Amino acid sequence: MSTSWNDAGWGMLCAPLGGGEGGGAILEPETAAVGLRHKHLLGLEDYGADEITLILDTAESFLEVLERPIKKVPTLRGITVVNLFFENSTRTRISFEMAEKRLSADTVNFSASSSSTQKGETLRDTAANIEAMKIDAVVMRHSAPGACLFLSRCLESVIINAGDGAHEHPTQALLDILSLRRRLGDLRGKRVTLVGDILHSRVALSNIYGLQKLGAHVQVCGPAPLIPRHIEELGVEVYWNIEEALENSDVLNVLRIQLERHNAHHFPSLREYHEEFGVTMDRLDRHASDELVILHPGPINRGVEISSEVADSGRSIILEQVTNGVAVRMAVLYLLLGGKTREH
Amino acid sequence: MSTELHQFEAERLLLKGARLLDPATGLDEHSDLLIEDGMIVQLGSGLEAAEAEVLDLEGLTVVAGFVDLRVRLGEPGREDRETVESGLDAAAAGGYVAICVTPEATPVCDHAGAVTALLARAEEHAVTLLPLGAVTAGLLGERLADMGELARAGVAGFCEGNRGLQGGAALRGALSYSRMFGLPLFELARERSLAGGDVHEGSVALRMGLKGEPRLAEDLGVQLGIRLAEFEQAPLHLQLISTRESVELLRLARSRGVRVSADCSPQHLALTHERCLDFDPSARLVPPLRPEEDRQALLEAVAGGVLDAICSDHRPAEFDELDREYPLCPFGCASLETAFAVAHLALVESGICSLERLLELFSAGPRRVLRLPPASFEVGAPAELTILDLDCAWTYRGAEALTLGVNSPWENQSFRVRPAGLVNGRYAALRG
Repeated sequence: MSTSWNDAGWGMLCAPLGGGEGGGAILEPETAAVGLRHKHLLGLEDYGADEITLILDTAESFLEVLERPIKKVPTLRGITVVNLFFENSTRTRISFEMAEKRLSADTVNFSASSSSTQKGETLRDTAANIEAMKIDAVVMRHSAPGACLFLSRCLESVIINAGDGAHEHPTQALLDILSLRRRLGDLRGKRVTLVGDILHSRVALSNIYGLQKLGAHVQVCGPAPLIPRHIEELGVEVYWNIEEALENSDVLNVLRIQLERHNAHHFPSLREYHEEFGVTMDRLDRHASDELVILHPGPINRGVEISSEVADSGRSIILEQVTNGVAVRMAVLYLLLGGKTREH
Repeated sequence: MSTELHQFEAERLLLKGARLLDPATGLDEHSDLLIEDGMIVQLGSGLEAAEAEVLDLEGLTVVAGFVDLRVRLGEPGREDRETVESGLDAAAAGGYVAICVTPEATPVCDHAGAVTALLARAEEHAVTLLPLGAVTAGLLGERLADMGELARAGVAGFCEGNRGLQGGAALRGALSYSRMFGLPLFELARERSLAGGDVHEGSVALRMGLKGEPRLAEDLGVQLGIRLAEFEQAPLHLQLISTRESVELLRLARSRGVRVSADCSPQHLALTHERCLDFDPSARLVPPLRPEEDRQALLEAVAGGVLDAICSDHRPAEFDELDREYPLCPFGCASLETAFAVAHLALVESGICSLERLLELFSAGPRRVLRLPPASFEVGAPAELTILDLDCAWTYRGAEALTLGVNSPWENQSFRVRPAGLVNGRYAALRG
């Protein structure tokens, strides 16, 4: 086998495990030669529209791989990825791990609460020790905003942000956007409304950046204390009334309400939240267009921010989001780490 | 390579060839100055004195000595951040003849023994250490510290550090009780229930995903302080003013004759909250760096006399505690050695105010707050002088600085002016 870019990179990208001459190559090498300008994925704030589009396009081809009987490709064989999770996460961690395994990377999982590291080892030391075991990338979830940026300044490895406090969660936004693009096509001019706790959300900022770069119009809706006062400076429109928001939306991205994060100064009760902001079939029938698409990053609180009827309806693409999440993370891993297999 | 500081004690000291500048008396001339036993004894050209230590200050400017109203040292308790010695060395390099040291130590400076120990540690240094006593025992906000004991031990004033007093009743009690001892009460006024963010509440906090502290926390704290000072007829010194609205409240209070004075830091005069965007912990300050409109209001207030003093708000930190997730880093920055250069940059080089006004803010202003007479060049006055180089190009590098603190927001920043040393009674210090 030659070691040219085509063979080591694009041939392997979609070749079934075990080789085969360019078996499932579906992407033209030229498309990908653009590449990402960034070494890491810390957030979408400074990613360009072309880079976001490249990730989405690459993810589309991985979706095809995920439909095969054997869902594994050898693209990242020999690459080691550490999943460093300092906060609980089931969905995101499994999705990343799945993506890594589908690409034949070796994976190691590390879970710790931030408090346990506060007692002793610093984040730098934890990460440096893991890096000393010769790894290529770290996927990190951490409660502190800026923690992934900090890590990128400490380590040589590629850093992928899996959520840093209320700052960014870029792969969640990318999978939301991929799901929308697959359903709606071009997102230019589409009105996307994020509903719920914007203040504490790591999904909101990444969604705002990503969607705006692709030409969508982003709006937020939720209890006023949970909407940052300065969000309009990001070019975002604010609604306090869910019905008005529904009347002006093509997409609703319903965020999870986490009661444990709030106090009585934010909103009084889950019951009241459901009354004021719950997305119910009745509200949709009366105020939304028939084409309105519903996203939710999960896990869902049925009967709080969204009714079961809506969550399980044809408008909802919640489970597609989960599938697309694996493909998006495969794309990110591939685009940031694919070059390393070429070096080998 | 580090900054070299030559410190010495001399019975007779002859300063030769400097420009003497004193806005208070209109003095501005090249003259020699003879100091004997810590007192100014003669001014004039071509002075000679037998057995005098001679300082050749050609090209330098001598001004009334700088006093800093807010410095945190690490000793006792956190000598890795700053010792008394390293802190006073840094103060000397910053041109200060005296620095007020906050009681935030371990143990807290809330008893006579702590004051005595601190004064003893500073005894042999060219820079005078002015200890501030805690307002409440242990800085816990529960009961007043033994202020009478602290006053007798030699504190220069009372201060609750960055924590501040919690609420109106505590501030009222402190104002009322402390005035008996004729010493100033310093307060970092904030409405605590609204305070507590990592950065200023605004677009920057939003983009960084951090909790923001609204202006309102300071505005309400300043309002409460002013009203209590007025109600109790007791003087109050408000520290680290940073918002447009609190400047306005101060202006009104002064016009009503309320006995309230105030200071701000050079950091807030020169930087805005956008400086925080790269998660650099040395720009994470209390109060937080604000938007440009607040900075402009602050510049105007300083120039126009609404604020009395500029304090360095030096809060050194060591490397390891900064090498962490942003919200876990300590607040503050090391600023003794850059305070004057930064303030000069923000105020004089930008044309906001004159050099003379800036000198008042570093000397006469803080001395007034401390109820000390202004430093003077008159024969018979104690020699408390700062030596400045007003025409040099230098670059701040933490590795060369005298502070142990590594948290300067000015790393690799170039400046045009720099303190060259000081004379403080029989002591002098000169940068090599």
